[in-house]
Amino acid sequence: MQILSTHARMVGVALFILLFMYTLFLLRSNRLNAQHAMSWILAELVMLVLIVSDAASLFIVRLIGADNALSAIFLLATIWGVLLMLDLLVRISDLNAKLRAVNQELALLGERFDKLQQGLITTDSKNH
Amino acid sequence: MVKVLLIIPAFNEQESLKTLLAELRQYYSQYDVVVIDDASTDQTAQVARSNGVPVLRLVANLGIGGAVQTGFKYAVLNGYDVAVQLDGDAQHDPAWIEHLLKPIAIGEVDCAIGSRFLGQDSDRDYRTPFVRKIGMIFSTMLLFLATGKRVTDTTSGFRALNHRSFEFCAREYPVDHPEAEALLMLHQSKFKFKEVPVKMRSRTSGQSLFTLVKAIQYPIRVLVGFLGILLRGPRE
Repeated sequence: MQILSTHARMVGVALFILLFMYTLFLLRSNRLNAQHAMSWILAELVMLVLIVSDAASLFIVRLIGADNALSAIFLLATIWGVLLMLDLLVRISDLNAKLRAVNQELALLGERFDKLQQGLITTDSKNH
Repeated sequence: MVKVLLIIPAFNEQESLKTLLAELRQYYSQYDVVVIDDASTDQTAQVARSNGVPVLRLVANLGIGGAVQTGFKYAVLNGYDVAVQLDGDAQHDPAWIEHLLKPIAIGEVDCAIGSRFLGQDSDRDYRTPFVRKIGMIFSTMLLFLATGKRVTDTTSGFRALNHRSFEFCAREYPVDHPEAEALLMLHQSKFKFKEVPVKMRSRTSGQSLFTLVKAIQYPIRVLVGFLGILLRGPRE
């Protein structure tokens, strides 16, 4: 059984190859770090396999119990999108906490620097 | 002698800060003061410096939680025994600082919270904005359900903490609208706290950070924040 027409399959493959190349370009130009690129590349490869291979698509359809391959792929893509967003929110929260700590440390050091400039403390004094 | 630090977080409070620092200089010259300038765009930092008060200048706005926590870190680094936090908008009347310090000094509690609504002599002069009132009722209910303690003024940022509790807060402190969450964290980690009746003043200048949008978000924010704290469990 052929799930996608040859034309649709070729368009899909071409789009995913473009997306894959763009991901590699972002990685190469340091605009996307390896950790973030990893999940994208993995997802792109999985989608490519599902487009190219009817057997893989049918396996997913049977696994999920979907009516057809398109709804199965749509469901998979949605779940992956939600997981990706959650992962990004975790990273943002982590960066927020780090930014807060750096900001606070900078403020504390700034105040110490002011005191040093005014001669209120010396470089070896821990407290004022 | 007990070393007391008065921590004043301030965001664009140049006018109120002048009044507050003058009052503190007049009545509490024995205590040290530090202003945490939360990336103000006005002359807040200059006002503090011109009054001879050290300023911790945050380069990006962290909100009240991050600003107060910076003050706690400063208190730990500089070996203070007690830290009192009071807002830079001068709504917290410094006349009540001694009342907050009393239960800490006798070792009754680790943290004393200034309450506008405690007992029969509750502060009728203070007008709580409606949106804030709704948030307060909600957080009071949640805190009661989580701890079994009835706290009348969960959003009060007028507090005194002993060394052990502010050292804890220097490590762990909630970010936005942190007051109610901080109490839950303290309770979970077996710190003792109590409310002390105080009077507060209405804001005369500057703008409240508690906007309508924030007030709508507040109950959900507190609920999620409480959930996170309860799931994490007590901290060392």
